Amino acid sequence: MFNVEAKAETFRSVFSVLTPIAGEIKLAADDNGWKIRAVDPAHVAMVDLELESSAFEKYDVEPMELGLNVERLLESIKSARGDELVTMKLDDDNRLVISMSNLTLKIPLVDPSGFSEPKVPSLNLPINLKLNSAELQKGLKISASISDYLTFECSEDKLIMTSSEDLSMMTLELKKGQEYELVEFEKPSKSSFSLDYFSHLMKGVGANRDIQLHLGNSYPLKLVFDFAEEKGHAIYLLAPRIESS
Amino acid sequence: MGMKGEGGVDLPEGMDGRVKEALDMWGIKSLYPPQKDSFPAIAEGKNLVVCVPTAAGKSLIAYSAIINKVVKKGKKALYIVPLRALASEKFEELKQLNRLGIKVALSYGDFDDDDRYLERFDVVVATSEKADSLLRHRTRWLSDLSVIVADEVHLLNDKGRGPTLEVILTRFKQLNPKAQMICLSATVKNSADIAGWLGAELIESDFRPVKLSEGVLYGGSVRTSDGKERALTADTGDPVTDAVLDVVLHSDDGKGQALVFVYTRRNAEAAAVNMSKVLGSRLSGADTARLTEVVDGLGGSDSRIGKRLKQAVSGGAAFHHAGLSNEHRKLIEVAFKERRIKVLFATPTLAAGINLPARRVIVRDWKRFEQFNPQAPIPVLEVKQMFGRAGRPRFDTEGQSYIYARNEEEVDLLMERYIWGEAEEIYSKLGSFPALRMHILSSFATNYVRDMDELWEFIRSTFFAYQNDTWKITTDVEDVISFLEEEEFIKVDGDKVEATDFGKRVARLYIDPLSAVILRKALLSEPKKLTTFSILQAACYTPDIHKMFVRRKEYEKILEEIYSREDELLMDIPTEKADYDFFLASVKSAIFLLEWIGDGELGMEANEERLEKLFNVGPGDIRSKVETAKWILYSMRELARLFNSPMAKAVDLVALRVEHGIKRELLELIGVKGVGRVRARRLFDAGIKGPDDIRSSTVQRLSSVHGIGRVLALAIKNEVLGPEGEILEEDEPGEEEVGTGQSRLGDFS
Repeated sequence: MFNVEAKAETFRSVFSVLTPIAGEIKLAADDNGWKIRAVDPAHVAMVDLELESSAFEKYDVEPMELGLNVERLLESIKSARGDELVTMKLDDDNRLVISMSNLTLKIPLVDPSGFSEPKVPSLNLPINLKLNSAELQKGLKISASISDYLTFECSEDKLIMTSSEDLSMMTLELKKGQEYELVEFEKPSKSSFSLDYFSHLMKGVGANRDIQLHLGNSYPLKLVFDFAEEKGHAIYLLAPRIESS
Repeated sequence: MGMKGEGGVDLPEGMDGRVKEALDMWGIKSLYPPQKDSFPAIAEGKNLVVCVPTAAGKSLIAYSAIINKVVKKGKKALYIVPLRALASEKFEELKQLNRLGIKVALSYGDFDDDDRYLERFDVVVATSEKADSLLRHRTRWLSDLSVIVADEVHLLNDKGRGPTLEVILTRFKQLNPKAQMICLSATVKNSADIAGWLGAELIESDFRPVKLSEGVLYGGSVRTSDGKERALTADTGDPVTDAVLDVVLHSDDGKGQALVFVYTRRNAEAAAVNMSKVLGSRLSGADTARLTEVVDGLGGSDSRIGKRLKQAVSGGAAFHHAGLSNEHRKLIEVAFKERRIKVLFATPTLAAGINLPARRVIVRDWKRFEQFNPQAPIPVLEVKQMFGRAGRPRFDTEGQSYIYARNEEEVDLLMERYIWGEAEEIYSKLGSFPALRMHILSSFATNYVRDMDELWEFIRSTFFAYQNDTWKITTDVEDVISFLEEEEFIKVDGDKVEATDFGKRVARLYIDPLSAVILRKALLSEPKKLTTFSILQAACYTPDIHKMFVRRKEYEKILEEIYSREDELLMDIPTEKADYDFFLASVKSAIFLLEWIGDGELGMEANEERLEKLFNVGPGDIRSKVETAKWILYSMRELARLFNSPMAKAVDLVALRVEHGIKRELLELIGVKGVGRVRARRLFDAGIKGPDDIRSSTVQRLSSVHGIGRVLALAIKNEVLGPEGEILEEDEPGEEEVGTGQSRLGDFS
């Protein structure tokens, strides 16, 4: 049994968090809600997502695993208004039937056995900041015209984003207590990331969202945020670029 | 003979001991009477005609003869069956002889091949067409045959398949007079004719291991042959439904099943769907759950037939006809054998085909449309074949076969004709012009016959000649000879006759000489414009292609097609009515194939659903039509080469496209294993247009194409990369995905 109903924007936010990482994912559903863990094919970025069953208007699910093509799903609810109710259920042919006001779609499932179980690396990151995604987005936009990677450098009282190539350079300085709140700080750290990957992840985070950014020294970054009216919880991990010396 | 003390079978003198081993292997402790009667003749190596009802153990007689000879003399056996489905069934059974060191092979399909590899096997199971084609290729091992089995030999009476069966048996009689011939037949009135023709001992019996009770179903009751009348336990108002519910729901052991024969496919489908509505609500929860599994197994089919099938199965009923896809047909057969499906509505083809017995058989329609009689009664022979499907050995103590009377008057008529009546006599159908044309050419082309004397000698050995005076066909034979000579299939020099290269090639291609004449004419024509349609229409105009029925309302559309494509036609538009209708039908078939290969109105490869809607064909029909077209197009290409026709290349391309059902642009993709017409189209539309694109795409990109999961994406990619470049782990990145300096998450755990 798999029969759920939620606002279009709820589904949209879930799928938008996933699509930067993978086009197809394996969804584990049970009474408590949905759990999705996916890694991109190159194993550079990962998402670990949970959506509480209370995020749905109707939630009738027995424990199961489904393979979904989230890109198609996202596409299929594109036309719906944000508050429009969308139901998704399995039919006898093992297709996902998506219905909204006057539209019904049937989409075949993906074989869930084809997915490997991604392992979440245990990371002990010395820095944890709280900030609005808009602050990062600003730096991201500008650096895109400069280089294809971005460096975070964090000291006790500021976070500096830099991007440089040849003679061009960008520096964006964020101050503690102004643009971000410091939650944890052990030691100064510096890591670089692929702009391509990072901007994809930021698209998944969305504009104007409160996030926690964990950083380390030449170590992966971790983005933690809630979505879907705080009923959804997501973690992104992104592996750094290691400068060859 | 008889049962031994410890429950084994006593073999007659001269029979090889391995036969006993095989019987033990099959767990057979005693023989049925017809089997017992046959064994001495088998041991003596005599020819045998066995006329017994279905399920009376005919096959075992044949198997025993095979084991006896093949083991003893190290020689070979050929087992000839009329249908592919039967060939597979026999093959599955005979395969068990592997344990006795007897190697068994199955051969059907490609007719233009001598299948030399079959030499390595001891027993070959083949359809009669395949056996004929092996004879035409003068396949060497045929002379090693020591046993030839012909199953369902009463089909000598069949207009379509009869002549071929007759010709191969005649040929073997001449070529291999020492080989033992075992012919298995349903009960026919003149079985002595077959035995007489083949110089065989006749074993005739009405023995059945499961008792059969025959009767007429009328109103709410059944009148059986012993004069009794029994009221049915169900009362829905429809006698056929009642008779089904009676056995399915109200039998003592709760294991009753019914098989209902109806005349048309539509009827079979409608009846099954209706039955499921009545039956479904009366089934137990456990039954319903077992049916749900079957429905799930039928998968997500978009075709109308698939949908109806699922609807029917969910309520415990199903239908079975040639329009079903192979996959669905097999699932239905298995589910019926497993007693999940309670009632099966089948067209009469099932009676001649696979072994699918049920406790109760109901023949609902006993009239059918024939050319000169739209209400022709079905022959007794055929009804008896259907009746014979009643009673499952080991499961049922009695089989019940009922024929349905629609009114009071019919009751006596049906009782007399079908219950008391005897099966008709069978007659050779070799005397028709098309059959003679085909087989006389092959006789010359294969050098089995070299002059008119030898031809007549051959004709005199046929079943036709056994039943008729040969002068009856003297004129026909002469006409065939002049047709073949005129069309340059043969050269006649006094009494000597020799096949030309054309004649030889045509005989081996296994097409009707008239088809070859049409194809040759098309290949040597000079159209203003040569298109795919030109080639398809010519191919569809041959008599080997089954005609598609042109409805009145389609006339206009087809005429329009003809006039707008007049420049493309390779054939003249005939003026005579019959030929003209045939021409229209050929255009319709060509349009069907155009849709199939994406050159139709849609501009894209039509899916099953569209073809079904436009042409009223099921998935099984599509497959068989495509297969025949492929064979004719292959022949056309071979003839194009023979005549150095400039069309050879174009025909080749069309043949390839028809085989796969694709537009030309998909040809590169279709070569990749695992990529069929549907996936090729999706890949192409996603911008992946050939092996090079697959090579340069990541597995993720491939798997983002609808219908291609990760596992398949990886398989496709590896197929293109070849063994050197193989990617083993599906999550391993494509090399271009990670730039220098980029780490992976795995580096940090």
